[in-house]
Amino acid sequence: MLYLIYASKEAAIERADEEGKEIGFDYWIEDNGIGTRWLTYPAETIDHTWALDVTDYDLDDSEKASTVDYYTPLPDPED
Amino acid sequence: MHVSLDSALGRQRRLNQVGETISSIAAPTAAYSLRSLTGGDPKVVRVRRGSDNHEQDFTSSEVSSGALQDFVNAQVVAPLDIQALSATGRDGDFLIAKAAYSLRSLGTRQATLAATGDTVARADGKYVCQVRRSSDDAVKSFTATEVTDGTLLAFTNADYAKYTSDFSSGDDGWGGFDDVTETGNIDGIGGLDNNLRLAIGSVTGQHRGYRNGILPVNQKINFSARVFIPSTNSVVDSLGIRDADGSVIIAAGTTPTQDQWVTVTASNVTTVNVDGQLRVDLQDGGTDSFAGNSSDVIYLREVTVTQVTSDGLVKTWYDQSVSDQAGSTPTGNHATQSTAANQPKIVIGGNLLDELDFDGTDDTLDIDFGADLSQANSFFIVHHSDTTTANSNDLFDSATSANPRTLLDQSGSDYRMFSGGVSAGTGIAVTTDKSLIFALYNGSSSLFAKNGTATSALNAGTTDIKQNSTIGSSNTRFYDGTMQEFIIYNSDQTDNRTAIEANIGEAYSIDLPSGVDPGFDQVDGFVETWYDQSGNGNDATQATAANQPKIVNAGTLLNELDFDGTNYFLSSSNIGAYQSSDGIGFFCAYSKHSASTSDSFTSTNPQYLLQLRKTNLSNTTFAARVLGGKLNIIRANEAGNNFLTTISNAHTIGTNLVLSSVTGTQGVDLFENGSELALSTDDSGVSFDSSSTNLIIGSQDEGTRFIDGNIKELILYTSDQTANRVALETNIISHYGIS
Repeated sequence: MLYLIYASKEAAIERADEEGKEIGFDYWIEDNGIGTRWLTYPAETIDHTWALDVTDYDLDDSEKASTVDYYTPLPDPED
Repeated sequence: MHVSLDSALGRQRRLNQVGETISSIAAPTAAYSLRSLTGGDPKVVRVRRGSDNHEQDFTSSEVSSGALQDFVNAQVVAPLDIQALSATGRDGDFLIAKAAYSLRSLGTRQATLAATGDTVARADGKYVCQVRRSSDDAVKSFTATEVTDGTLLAFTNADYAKYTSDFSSGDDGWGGFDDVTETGNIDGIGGLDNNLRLAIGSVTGQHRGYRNGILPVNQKINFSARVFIPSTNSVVDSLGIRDADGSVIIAAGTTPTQDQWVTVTASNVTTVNVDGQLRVDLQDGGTDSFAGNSSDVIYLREVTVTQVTSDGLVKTWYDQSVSDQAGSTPTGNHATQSTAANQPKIVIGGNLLDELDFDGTDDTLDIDFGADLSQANSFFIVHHSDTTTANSNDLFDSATSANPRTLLDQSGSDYRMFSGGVSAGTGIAVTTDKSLIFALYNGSSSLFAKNGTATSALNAGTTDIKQNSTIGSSNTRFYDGTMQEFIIYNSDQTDNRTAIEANIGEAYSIDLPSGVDPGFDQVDGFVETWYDQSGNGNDATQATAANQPKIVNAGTLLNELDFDGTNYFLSSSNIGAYQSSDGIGFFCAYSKHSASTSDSFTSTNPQYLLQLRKTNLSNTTFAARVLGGKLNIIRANEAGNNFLTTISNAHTIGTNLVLSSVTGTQGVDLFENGSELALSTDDSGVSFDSSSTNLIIGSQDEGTRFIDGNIKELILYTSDQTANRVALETNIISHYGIS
């Protein structure tokens, strides 16, 4: 798996939006706010940055150079 | 209707009544299923298919009828992208066409072409047609997207200055009927020079001026002119303007104020006269026929005709095919027509046809294949004949019927295949509807199919396709109808026929025989929305593709939602208020995928069937889970204090179960297939009230402890359902045949 790490959830979602538009998910085609929007959605890391799974994304050279192959997620919630 | 004694006595009902539904037993807070829980035919699920990410809503009857599965398995691989069958599927070489014409893109391998001959130069692109507009003969190439998104119509319907008068040196070609005399270059009228004067004589009858060649035929115009009627007139006080066929431009009886220039205008008037003749009727009180006084006049100036629609005619139907596996070399066998009058139409009177219209008189397109094409040759054609007259359905032949020739036309009432002097009647009638034709020319192994249904082997001769051939004509006979798609393979495509037909049929809504395309029925379908049938609008959605549970696996409808244990979940942001003291009713038809025997809490254990939590907070307030392979209920408060049920029986992998729990203020009762597993008393004192509640199916906190199993149905009540439990369980168990 390949991940890009973002400082904020909003920045990660912005990149996920970009990919969703490029793929042509229904949310972007119909422009009615329903339907699939993202290929992947960011997850919070243990240091409160946001990891976006970009394994199947069309990355530019800069992004390719920035990917990591793992991240540490938030700890599991307690019961 | 049967009402049990228990029910009548206010106890639990033990049997379902005839026709009883979940919602009629008790109205749920949220209810998810693929069957109808209401007795009607509600929308139950929105599905994204994996092949092209297209999405569609489905009702319960559309799920059970197979429509959902058909949607997911629709053949979306376009002809140029279809690969040959191999032992491992359609992963062989791409099928190479000799020519491929359409107004849609025929695949991602569509050739990139130069827009040679365009009036305004364009960069290379994936063009499908080159269009000439009738107004000024400008020529432009268009991509498939540009055909449909309005770009093509914007081109053909661009405003065109058809006529602007100039009376500075004469009458500018105007004339007069009856006794009207026209004179140009009249000065000093209302302070303006260079005007046209129309003067009447003494005839009793009509009094008309005219100008030929200034109106388009069967197109819309905007019109403007300035008119001056002097007060010295004793008869002529009004006018009307029209074309020579009577199409009104300025209404009869129009009465401009006298002794001043008045502008008269009209918009979007369709004129039809073949000579393009405009007429001005001089009138007396709005009447055409009157006695002339030999003195009255009107003056005109600044007459303009702006054509606002045009016909669009196809000069080039681009060959979209490529000649190599890499997809980088255009074949370039474009179908062309350089003679304007013989070009088929794609826009008529400003209206896009989305197909090529051949007039049956002289329209045809020429192809130069570069060399004769020896058999086998395969044709896929979508066309719509306007007539079943045999001489008007000539779809393909060599130019001027020269030999060698391969002809496809109509003989008698049926399609005919012909090559090298051998004719094969197909026995398939030409009809006046949109038809998908397959014709294989391969000697005695020739074949014909219409709308996916094939004939037995035919002998259509053995001759080549001529290097120079035509679409839409056979020598002096011409096709009368429309054409949507035309693909030629210099090879036998019998083995790929159904795959190609399936895609074409999908594109043109042509009804093909069922099971037409086994080679592609391997698509996955994913749930974007599991619609809430309660009527409360608590739909469970998943906008992220990678997290959507599966409903069709490799082309087969699962009849349940498959949650993979690692990524899949659905959620509803707010199902409304939840008050723990009101209790919970939880009912779920479920089967698990894999064993989990440990009761230890990890990142994957327990697995969450359902979680309720306060919106925007992560703390669970209620959850139904599978811990160590056993049903487990948790109640918690905002501070994180919680109560867990005693672990109950382990589930069997792959076995359909109905798990349920009815929870009151303190009692938490768990059931499997209607049998009690455990009754716990919650004396922890935890309680929770929230005005808005987040519902999650298949995961804790939208990202961990995913359920690894299938869910057929999940029904939630935010109230104690002890009184209805048996009836609800019986309904679910009965429907799914669970014992």
